[in-house]
Amino acid sequence: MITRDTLTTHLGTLWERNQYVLAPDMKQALERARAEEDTELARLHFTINLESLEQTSKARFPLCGDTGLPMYYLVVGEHAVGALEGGVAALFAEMRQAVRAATEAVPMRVNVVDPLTRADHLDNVGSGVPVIVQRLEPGADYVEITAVALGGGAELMGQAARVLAPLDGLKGIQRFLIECVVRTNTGKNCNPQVVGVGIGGSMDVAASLAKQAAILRGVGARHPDPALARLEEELLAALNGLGLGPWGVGGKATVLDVLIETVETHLVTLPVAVYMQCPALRRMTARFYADGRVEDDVTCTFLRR
Amino acid sequence: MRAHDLTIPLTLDGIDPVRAGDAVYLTGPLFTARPRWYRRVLAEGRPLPVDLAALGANVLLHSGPLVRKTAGGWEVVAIVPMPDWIADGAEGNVTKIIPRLGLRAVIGKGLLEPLPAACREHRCLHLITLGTWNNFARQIEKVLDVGWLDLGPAEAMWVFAVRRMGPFVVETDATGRSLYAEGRAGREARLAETLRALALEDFKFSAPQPPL
Repeated sequence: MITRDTLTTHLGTLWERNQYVLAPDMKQALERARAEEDTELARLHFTINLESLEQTSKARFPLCGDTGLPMYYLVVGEHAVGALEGGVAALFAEMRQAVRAATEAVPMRVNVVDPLTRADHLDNVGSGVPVIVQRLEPGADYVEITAVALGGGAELMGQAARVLAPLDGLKGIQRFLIECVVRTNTGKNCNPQVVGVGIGGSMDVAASLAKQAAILRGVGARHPDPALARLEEELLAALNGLGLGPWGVGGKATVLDVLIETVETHLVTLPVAVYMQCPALRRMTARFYADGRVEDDVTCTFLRR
Repeated sequence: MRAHDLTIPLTLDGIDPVRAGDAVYLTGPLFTARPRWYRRVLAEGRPLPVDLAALGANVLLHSGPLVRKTAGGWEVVAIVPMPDWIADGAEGNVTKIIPRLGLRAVIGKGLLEPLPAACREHRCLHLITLGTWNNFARQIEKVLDVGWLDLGPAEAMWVFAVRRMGPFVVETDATGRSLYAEGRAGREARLAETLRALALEDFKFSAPQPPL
């Protein structure tokens, strides 16, 4: 049985830790970037990130002043549904309540507003928020919940989806990617970013893939397809050749990584989307098994090829 | 990297030796502003809810803090400056507010094309943060005042007493010298080189790009 009490307790911890623990792969990427920079300014940028992180994680304070738009990636195992106390409705209610409670307890900044009136409810919960993206996992006996805090800057400058035409091909994708980075990386949002590129599917699928690549795959993890892995490395080198560096005032790290995901598409379209994840990558996963066991802080399995 | 310890209210004498590329630490009262603050002040012409002149707060920080209420008032839990272009809007808000309030420094991040000219004309610094985030909250000694809380705690106008807040990098100094402006030629050259390396110089998308 997955009880409501269990969900309340572990989701509370999930959001609290999510706010002061930087994703370990991102932390390593920042350490690598610091080692590679050779100007004082660029090195200091990463040093401040890492030193500040040490202080805030010790104090259990949010690592960034923007505590993000709350989002979940949810994997529902086929054999876990029947084990949910109160059913799926209770699961969703607990996921919403966890955000409301964490806003007060952590605390998290009141970020969630009506898109037109800009009115807020002071609790970061509203229509469609927290964002929940879900899929079913055949045969699995667990519910896996990943909490993600989406930084406003990553959203604002980050996501762009464009459906190219077939003849635009790889060159079109490269051109689009360079446009996205150049218009952003003079400090228009928090760079250097992890660039997620979603290719194929339909307009919305490409956008989702781009975001999942940037947030869920793990910084520095190459695509298992050698051709795509090579493309990632080529694009990473090309983008860092722009030399924009932290805040666009010069440096080696213009972006921290390029992560590509593809799915097949309609013969007349080439959808491509880019998500530019800021260094404040907050992603934390817990798994709730039908027999009552809970695993905190596991690797997210939402991204499935 | 040269570093300066400056006290707010900033004076012309105080900011005179400060050059683009230097580091700055600030001590004294500063206030926050976000896009809806600009709408109220510039588009709607509302009077400020806080007497900045009385406090001597002539430094503007583009940011929305994460605050919590305590028994004695307010505590800043975390705060990170935001990109200046978001506050600037399409109206050139930032260059308008510098002379209006007699600002000697604007803190934010990122390139804002018209800022160097305004900084030269009105003798003002543009400061940017180092680090994507920094534990600035521990450099805020006290919340001095807050206005327009109806905009929500992040968008309200906050006045803080800060102690050695920084480091900030001087992006533009009061002579109008700007790191972004000086980097432009290099940025454009490296972009051209990158496009050449990928054989993209003459690339055009299939779909026509109609003028608006």
